[in-house]
Amino acid sequence: MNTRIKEFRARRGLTQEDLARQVGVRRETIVYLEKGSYNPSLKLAHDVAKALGSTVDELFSFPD
Amino acid sequence: MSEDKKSGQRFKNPAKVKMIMLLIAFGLVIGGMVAYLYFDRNSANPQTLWLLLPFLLIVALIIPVLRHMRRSAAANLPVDDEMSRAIKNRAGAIAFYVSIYIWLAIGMLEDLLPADVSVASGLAIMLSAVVFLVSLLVLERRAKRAGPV
Repeated sequence: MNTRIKEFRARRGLTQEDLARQVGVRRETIVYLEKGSYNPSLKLAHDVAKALGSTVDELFSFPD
Repeated sequence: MSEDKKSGQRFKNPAKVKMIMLLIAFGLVIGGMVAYLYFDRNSANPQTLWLLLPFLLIVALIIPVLRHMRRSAAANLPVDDEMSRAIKNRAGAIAFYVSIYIWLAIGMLEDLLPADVSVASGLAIMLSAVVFLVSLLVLERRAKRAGPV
């Protein structure tokens, strides 16, 4: 799984901790998400996209 | 009804409350078991003193977990989320599979164990708890190693 969370977060000038606080998860979860090592629930993916002013499609991609 | 109660947020800092509750429950369980071992099994006897080893291991392993919870609570971050629950489930599964082999070993080495079956069973349960905590710490550490950005 590839994610562009880090890129979008940097554009907004947010730290991992800021994003974690906005979404209501631990910072470690954001670390895992950015590395593409954690497959989030649809709800969490939606919340992260919303917090970054983006869409789930833009943030997450699955190579064929 | 207050706004906090409407949203299901009964306490100002639920993470802190959860941590304190966990600490009390942990203290009661460990304290009870140590007291049982000391008074009922006469753990002062060097031959049965090794039974306290899993308790000490659990105490040593729970400290980093509690420290992490305290840091999260201080930073106003949740101590529990969907990924931590997934990690706990995975650590629980590992502990379950390992405990099967511990029981198997106890069954096979029953005659060689320097304790009766009930003590050995208790020890197996404690070892499962140790395996659970070790798995939890290892899985959690993988995320922390990346460091803050």
